[in-house]
Amino acid sequence: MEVSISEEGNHSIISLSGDLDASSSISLDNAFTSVLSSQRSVIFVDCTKLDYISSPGIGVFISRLGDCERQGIRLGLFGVSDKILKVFKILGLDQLIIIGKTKQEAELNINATQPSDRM
Amino acid sequence: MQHSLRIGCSNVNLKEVRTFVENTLGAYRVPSDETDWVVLAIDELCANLIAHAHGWDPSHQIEVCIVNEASVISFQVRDPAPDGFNLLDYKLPEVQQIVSEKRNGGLGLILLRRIMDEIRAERHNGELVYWMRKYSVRGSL
Repeated sequence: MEVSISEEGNHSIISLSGDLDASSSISLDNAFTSVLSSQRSVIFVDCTKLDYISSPGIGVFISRLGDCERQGIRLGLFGVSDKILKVFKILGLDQLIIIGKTKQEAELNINATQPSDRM
Repeated sequence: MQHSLRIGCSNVNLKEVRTFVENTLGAYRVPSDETDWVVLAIDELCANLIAHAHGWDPSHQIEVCIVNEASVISFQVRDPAPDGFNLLDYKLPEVQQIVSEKRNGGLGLILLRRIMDEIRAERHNGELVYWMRKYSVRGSL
């Protein structure tokens, strides 16, 4: 899996490409460590090129969501394929993590949701 | 007809497992959305065995088998470790508990249980064999 980080205004974007599994989830975790230190108010994860996800990857999102909440940072995913979305759904996590088809939709969902709404 | 793949217990081999399952089910014309679920379930089981039964030791091996008998497809993951513990004995947490504690363990076996309709573990000749079925997955050849 390839991971890249970019900064735009008040938000950071982590872009993922390839398979997010037990062998690559550490790369996502490291990316979160980096963007959380930049103290921007929103973190987006661009999943447009993400082909596969398994539980270690989902586990990173869950554990890092807690870090985001403690620092008052909002987290949103966008570009999530139906294949990956159904994995979040089977665990009920689509109700926990903000997911949008596009970055704009994820941003709208973040703005429409108070942090406490999803906990 | 049985198809088998043996891998060393390293996470870097999980991609090979996924490709093996995807290609084998593809040859039996299993719909891709059903294949996606099976690929995930087998990946999760193998990842748990690699980590918790074998400590990521690549010199240890496990085997993934796909068996097609009269279009009924079943799946096996064979762990030859003589003292390998049974993952199915693990008491699963609730997803909500994992979320509230913001931890990242336990989800894989929850996924496995939710995806497969039948799963059991049996010891045969010193091996621990995980046997699984998903009823909607049937071969057409």
